[in-house]
Amino acid sequence: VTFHTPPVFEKVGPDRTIVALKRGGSKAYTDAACAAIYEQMKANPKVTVMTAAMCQGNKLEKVRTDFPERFFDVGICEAHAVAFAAGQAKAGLRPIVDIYSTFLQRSFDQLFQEVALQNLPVTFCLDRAGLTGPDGPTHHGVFDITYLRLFPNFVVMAPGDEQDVAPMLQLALAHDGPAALRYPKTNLEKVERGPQPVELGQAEVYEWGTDGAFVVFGSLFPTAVKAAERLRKEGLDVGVINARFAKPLDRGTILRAVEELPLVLTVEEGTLEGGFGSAVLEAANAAGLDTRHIVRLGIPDRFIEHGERGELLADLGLDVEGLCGAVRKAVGAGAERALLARDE
Amino acid sequence: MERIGAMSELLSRVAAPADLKTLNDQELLQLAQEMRDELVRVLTTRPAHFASNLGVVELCLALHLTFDFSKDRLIWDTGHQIYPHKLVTGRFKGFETIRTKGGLMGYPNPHESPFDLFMTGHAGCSISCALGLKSGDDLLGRGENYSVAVVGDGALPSGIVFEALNNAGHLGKNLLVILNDNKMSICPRVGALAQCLDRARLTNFYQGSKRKLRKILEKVPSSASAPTRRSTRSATPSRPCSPGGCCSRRWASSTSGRWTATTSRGCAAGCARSKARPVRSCCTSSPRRATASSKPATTR
Repeated sequence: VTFHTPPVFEKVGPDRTIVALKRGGSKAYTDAACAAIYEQMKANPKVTVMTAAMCQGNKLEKVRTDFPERFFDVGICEAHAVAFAAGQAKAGLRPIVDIYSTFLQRSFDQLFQEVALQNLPVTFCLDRAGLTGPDGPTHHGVFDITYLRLFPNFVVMAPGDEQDVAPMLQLALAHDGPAALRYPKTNLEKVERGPQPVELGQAEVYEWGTDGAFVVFGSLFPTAVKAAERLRKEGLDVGVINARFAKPLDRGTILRAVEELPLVLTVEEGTLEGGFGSAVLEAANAAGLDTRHIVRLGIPDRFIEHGERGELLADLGLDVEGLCGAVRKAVGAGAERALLARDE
Repeated sequence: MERIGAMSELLSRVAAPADLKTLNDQELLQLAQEMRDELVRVLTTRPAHFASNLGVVELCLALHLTFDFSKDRLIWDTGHQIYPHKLVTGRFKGFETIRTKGGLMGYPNPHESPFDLFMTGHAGCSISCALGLKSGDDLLGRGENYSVAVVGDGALPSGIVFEALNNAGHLGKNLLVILNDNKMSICPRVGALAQCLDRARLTNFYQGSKRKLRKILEKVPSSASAPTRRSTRSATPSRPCSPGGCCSRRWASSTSGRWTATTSRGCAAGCARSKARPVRSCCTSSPRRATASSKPATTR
């Protein structure tokens, strides 16, 4: 990585020595995932980790040094990485495929045949899931929710903040089948709370509102919490649910919101086509519920250009202001609908 | 559709691969014929994969005689050539139901038998899976287990095959890859790699080696009296080398001609494996490999 994408340099001191510019030092999701992987490898000798030439990008150097016999860098061979992991899982190991979301797309058929069809306990850590920023459309990892939830047997989850990362990895490794967790290329964020334990297919209700709810899958959970705070100042009581699982979906919690609340906004850093919001719509439809008050927020059906992640999220209405705007718009439309209904 | 009594006399006695070891050379030849008869009998009644299965009857027997797949690992790539394997792994009785609803699957199915490891229907993944199994067995203290991938020349050019070979060569695992070079990939195979395989077979070196190999095998005593070919798992030196030499010497001597005939092009090469010198990656049908693989493992 040092030479692949070198850091920004600066000249310091009287002799203008060139050194790498120190960044803020904040930890990224990659650091949290890597630390969790390290702990799991320390605790369980059956855990192995695969990377497809992304050892440094995924910050796995310490894993490579301390567990050389259980660390496998297969080169830029994503399809093989997945099938190889499936073989290990069949033999009785608990492999983790630590991979960028966009590159896992190259293993679509192996996800289907070697992993999902055989129902093997392979864990996928999808780094750089969502908008990756300056790399642009070749590197945005926005399709994984859709293509992973296609397959029977798969568990698809996303940590709402840094506190969810380690428990989710633990759950994935204890689960007797394939499981994936996705997290973005950004600094860790934390929502102050006593987090509920991560349990298979269970969403976490952060707060319940009377005017509506954000049902957030993954990294935009802290954004939704901030948006809800701002809306409360405007007199709108919108709750926040940390969905945690796109599959299996917590039908109990989410469908209760759909049934009881006048507005439900699904939020995800992934494509709207077949994504988490679609899963909610499908579940509501299957339960015979009205879905007209469900608004899906996510990546629209076009390729997203490059730019800083924050800039891109703002453009797509996935920042705090965007989420608030979506609520205001929906509430306005809802009020109009109610007026029309009354007049009729 | 009745089975002719004599037609499956031996086959009906094979309840598990271990039963193969009770048969002598003549009986193994008869068994191979019975298996082919059974394949023809059933597969002419419904659309099913035909030639690919007829072509691997002897290879299947050789593998089951050489390895113990209750412990060792075997992946057929693709899985539609699994029928002979099903016939000798306790599924002869249900074979008539193959590819029918509620019956046997036309591909490997772990729910049917512990001898089927992966449902393989898409080509090319066998080497990755076999390598993963070997790697897993090694880490879990079962390093004595062998891992075998049977890959066709149709699947060989798949990208993932090269990905797997690249990794296998790096890891240096004791892995056996058998190339079934039958010149088919649904349609007749095409591509530069196919031409390479063809050219390799036309060389004087390959043809000469093949003649020499045949002569050597002819001198090996064919042996109804020979002891079981695999008395103990730990006796590595006595373990036969590879299906390139038709695995067991006596089996090779009695069937190599047949094998060549039935696979039409000959099933090509395995690469031998020994603990002293683990196989770097796999084999091709290259003459050097084919010749080397005919020698006992200890000489490598």
